[in-house]
Amino acid sequence: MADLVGSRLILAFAVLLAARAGAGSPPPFTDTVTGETLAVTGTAADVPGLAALLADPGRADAARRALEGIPGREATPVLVAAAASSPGPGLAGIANSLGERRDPAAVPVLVRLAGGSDTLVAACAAGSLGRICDVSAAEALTSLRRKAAREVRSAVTDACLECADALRGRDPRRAGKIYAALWSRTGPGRVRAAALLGLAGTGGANSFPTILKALADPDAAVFGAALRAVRETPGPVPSESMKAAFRKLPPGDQGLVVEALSRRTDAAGRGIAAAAAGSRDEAVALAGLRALGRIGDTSSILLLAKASATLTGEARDAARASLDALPGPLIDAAMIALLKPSTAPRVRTELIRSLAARNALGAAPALEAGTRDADPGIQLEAAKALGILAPATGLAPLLALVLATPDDEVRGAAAKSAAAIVGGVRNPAAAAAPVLEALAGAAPAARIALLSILPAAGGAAALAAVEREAGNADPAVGKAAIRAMGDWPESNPRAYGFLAATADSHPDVTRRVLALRGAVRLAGLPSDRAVQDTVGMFAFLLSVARRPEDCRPVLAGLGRIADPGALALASSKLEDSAVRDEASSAVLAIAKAIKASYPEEAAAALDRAVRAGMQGKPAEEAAKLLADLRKLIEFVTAWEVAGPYRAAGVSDDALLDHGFPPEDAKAAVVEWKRVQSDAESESPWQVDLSSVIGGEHCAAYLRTWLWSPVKQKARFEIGSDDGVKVWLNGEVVHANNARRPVADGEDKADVKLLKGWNPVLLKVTQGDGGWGASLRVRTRDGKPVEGLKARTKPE
Amino acid sequence: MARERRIGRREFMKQGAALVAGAAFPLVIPSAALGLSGRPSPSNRLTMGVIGTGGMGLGDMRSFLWHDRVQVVAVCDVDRPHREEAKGVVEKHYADHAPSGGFKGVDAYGDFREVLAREDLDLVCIATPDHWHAPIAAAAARAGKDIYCEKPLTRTVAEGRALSDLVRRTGRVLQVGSQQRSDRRFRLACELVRNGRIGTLQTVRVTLPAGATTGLHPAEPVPEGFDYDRWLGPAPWGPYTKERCHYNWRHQWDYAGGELADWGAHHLDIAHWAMGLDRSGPVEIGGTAEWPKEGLWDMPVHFEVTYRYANGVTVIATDHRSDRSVTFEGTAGTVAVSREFIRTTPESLAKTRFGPGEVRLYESTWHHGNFIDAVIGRRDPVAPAEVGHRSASVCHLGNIALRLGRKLRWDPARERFVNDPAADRWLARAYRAPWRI
Repeated sequence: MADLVGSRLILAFAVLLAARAGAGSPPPFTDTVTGETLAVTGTAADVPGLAALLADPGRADAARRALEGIPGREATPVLVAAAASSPGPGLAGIANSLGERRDPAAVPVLVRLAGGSDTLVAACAAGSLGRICDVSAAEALTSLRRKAAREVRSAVTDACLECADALRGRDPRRAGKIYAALWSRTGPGRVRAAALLGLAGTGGANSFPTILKALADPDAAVFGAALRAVRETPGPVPSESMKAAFRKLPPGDQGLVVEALSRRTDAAGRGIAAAAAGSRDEAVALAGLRALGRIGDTSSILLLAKASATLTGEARDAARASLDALPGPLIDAAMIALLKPSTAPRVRTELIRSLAARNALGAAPALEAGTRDADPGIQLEAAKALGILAPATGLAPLLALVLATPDDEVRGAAAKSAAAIVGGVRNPAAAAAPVLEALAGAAPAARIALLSILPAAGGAAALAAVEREAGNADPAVGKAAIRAMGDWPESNPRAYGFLAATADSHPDVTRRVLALRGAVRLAGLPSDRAVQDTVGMFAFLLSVARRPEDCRPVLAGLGRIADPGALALASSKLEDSAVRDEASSAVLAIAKAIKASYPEEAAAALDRAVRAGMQGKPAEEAAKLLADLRKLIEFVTAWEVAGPYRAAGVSDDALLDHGFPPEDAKAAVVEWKRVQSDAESESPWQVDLSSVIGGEHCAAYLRTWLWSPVKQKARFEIGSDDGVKVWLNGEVVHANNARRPVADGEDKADVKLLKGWNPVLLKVTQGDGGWGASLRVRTRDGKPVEGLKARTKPE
Repeated sequence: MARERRIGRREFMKQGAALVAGAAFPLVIPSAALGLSGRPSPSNRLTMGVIGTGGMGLGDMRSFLWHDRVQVVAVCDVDRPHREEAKGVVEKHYADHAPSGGFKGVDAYGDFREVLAREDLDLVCIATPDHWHAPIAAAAARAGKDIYCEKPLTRTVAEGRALSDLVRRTGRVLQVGSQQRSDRRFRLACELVRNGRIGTLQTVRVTLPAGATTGLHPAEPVPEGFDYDRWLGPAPWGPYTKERCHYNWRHQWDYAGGELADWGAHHLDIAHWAMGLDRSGPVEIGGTAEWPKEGLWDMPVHFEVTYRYANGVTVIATDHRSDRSVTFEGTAGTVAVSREFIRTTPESLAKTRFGPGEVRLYESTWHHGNFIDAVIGRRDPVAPAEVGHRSASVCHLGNIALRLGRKLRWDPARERFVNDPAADRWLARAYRAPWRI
């Protein structure tokens, strides 16, 4: 043990023992950790010490594992020597470690152990011979396989396979002999399967006779290996032999073989797949159809197109998917060439569908020609395909088809595709010209279809045309025009005005309803106008909605406007029993959206909705929201923000006392922005300045107005990250040049509120990291202040 | 000949089923067992043993219970309450779906070797702690079973190399539980990258959960019914405390690889898939970590690992408070994907249509079902052994770089560090006797 003095083993022992003091664990734990450490840091110098520990039953396993990881030759003789004396599981561990070290010097002792009476040790030793896998190990394993005890034979066989696997690169002949021996034996299917894979791996194409024979093997594992070999073995597949073998297989196996062939990088299975696609057995046919999608070529096109046209269900889906996926640069051109009159219309239809699915832009001329075909089915498919590929040249033939076809379905598809093309060009408004031209002389049915295209274009000319058509003598055309206007791509004031007026005063109820729905949609689209104007638009629409069923879409649209005005408007319908549910839903949606910025209004509206008879799940949601709002209301959430402000040479600590423009009443214009609180935040009452404006080493200002019904004493409870200074009615009432995260109410300042509006200004400094603040106003004894409200501006 | 033998097997199984008195027992035909030959017809079921029946194992098992080609016949866990719960789940499921309303056809084991010794078993599902994945999977492959194994597939790079080679050599099917590969959003994200829709890929940002800390815990009595020594298995011995075992093992180097491996095995796997490098790896690894100051758990709490690949792409894996996503940044756009969303820049990318000449990735919509399809067709599943090994390896390499505290160069072909024998020693760990892979 003298050799150990000063070694890392001792050091590790000491450190670990100290760490473990009092834990009450037995010594082996310490040794275990030491062994782990030395396995990655130990050197030849540590070997003698570890060798000594191998004799200690309590420490032998930890020492053995450390030796396993120590590079160089020194550890192997120590382990070999220990193999002579270690018992049971310990010996198994030594056998394992000798294998992991892959040192050929261990082969003799492993051979001895593999032939011993302890089957656990013998199995481990055999496995280690497989891991070392030099020639002597291979020969020893071959010998052992013949005489191994039944309990060990499986391990020896596995080791033979591992050994052969390792020898494939440097001694393929020897590896092949091992595989051949295991393949020919009457052994477990799993062993023969592995041997077959080994033979295929070493023999390449020469192994196909064996592989084909294995396809007929009754053992599932062998058959499975044969499938893999079919899939992965490189080199030319003997096609005639493969076909012969294939024919002899039962249908279930045929399908699997077709699938395996289709996964080869060559096309060896194309013929078999094509034949399988025609099989009477559904599963085989399905496999064949799917396989062609991977290995088919131009010769497969017609087969797949016909199958797509004639089959149904899963088979049709497979045929279509394969047609759409056929690989190679020549496929699209070959498909286009087949779009000739002599090809059956149903097959042509499938080819057109597939060309669109294949994104075959080169097919556009042929598809345009398809819109002029005599067969309505082909016209329909060509029209759809043009909508998918959307070539600019497709617009004219589609418009011509809209004008010419008597078929409603074809006309509808053509119009839809034309809209896709118009909407996809760089300047859609300019693309409206040919549509407007076509509109000039179109019959009513075509006129209706053409009107449906114009919203995709937008623009003044198109809108004027739609407005004109709204007055068309044909009622169907007039309604189509109102629909088109309601589908307008942006919240156009003229379109909205027309629709609102129609909704208000048109004598025809259908047109009124269509116009109302369109107006609701346009009012809800994003726009630059003030939100109050949008609320006004909804107020008007609600006023012209004469029946409950007309009110409902208006309330639904209103529910998407996050504004207290919208909330008030929705609330006004809460007492109307015919639309109470819709009004409640709108109130709930708006209240959720504005809860952080307008908690009092949201709470009041929800309270009113609940009292009005809100029921079911909305009522549950409202109750939960109300509970959250009651907490939120205690805090000031109506803020405007200015900043960030920085000054050269001013340190973070000096920021609080450095005056920036918001502190100076005479300063030039300060840009204040409304703070939109994060409604999804867990603490929506806190202003997260990092998100609102962001920045480091700077300061920001927050301002609000507090309305007090009486002159009274109060207390500001303030949280800030970092420093904070507070002005009330122009006087500093609190300052704390802190560096800290926000903690609500961490600072408290006694203040006096005047009756009426009291301006409040907060300055919050920022070093780095988080940045924010919160303010709650309470009475001096910690209660809510009755009648207090906060606004960004005095009302 | 084959047909005759199949009939023979079917008859055998009918007799076997008849022995289960009073039980509603579906026709269960193991595919390669019973000492007879033959293969399962489509109407027959594949038999499965579930090894490791904690939270993840129960989840996997429930999915397989719903597969009409699978019959769970064995459950195994070193913790008796776990295996008894699993047995009850299986029995209730089959009873609920049996005309007689009763079922007694599943056996519970405490030793996985007894499960693997069953010749009537086709499949195993392995959902143990990470340190047991590879040894059990290797034993299962040698026993001729096909394997569904939870991620990360391995505990070390050496385990992965050995296991992947073994699975190939034996022709077994192994599916790693990287179920994000069977999620449409992740596949789409990878296809967008592979087909250059975001231009040339430059950076991949991966966000993972942060690690966790705990104190020093005194040894506790081993709970009744818990075979603690077998739970430790190949891992170094340590005194029992519940902070060491169920669920908590993931925070300890002896059994797992921390969050970098626990979640990295999912998201770094996706990064590899998108780059077309899921059978390769990085060429350089470096990073920084904040380690627990004390306590039993010894994996990084906060970390940032940067991987460089031979194609010039940088992959950065960091912990994040809430985000678990993969973001691909290219010269012409971005794709961010998680289990909740896929976001693209430009937005229109999300509606991309691919043509037949473009790269389409392996399509799987049900990870467990894909495993069964692969077993029947004897083909690779969507997350095969080699892919699982490489995805686990990239996590292990990150952990090694963090642990050594220096930048490492890696040769993904040789699977060794470049001229760095000291780092190479971290690629394997010796097992406790008598365990081996």
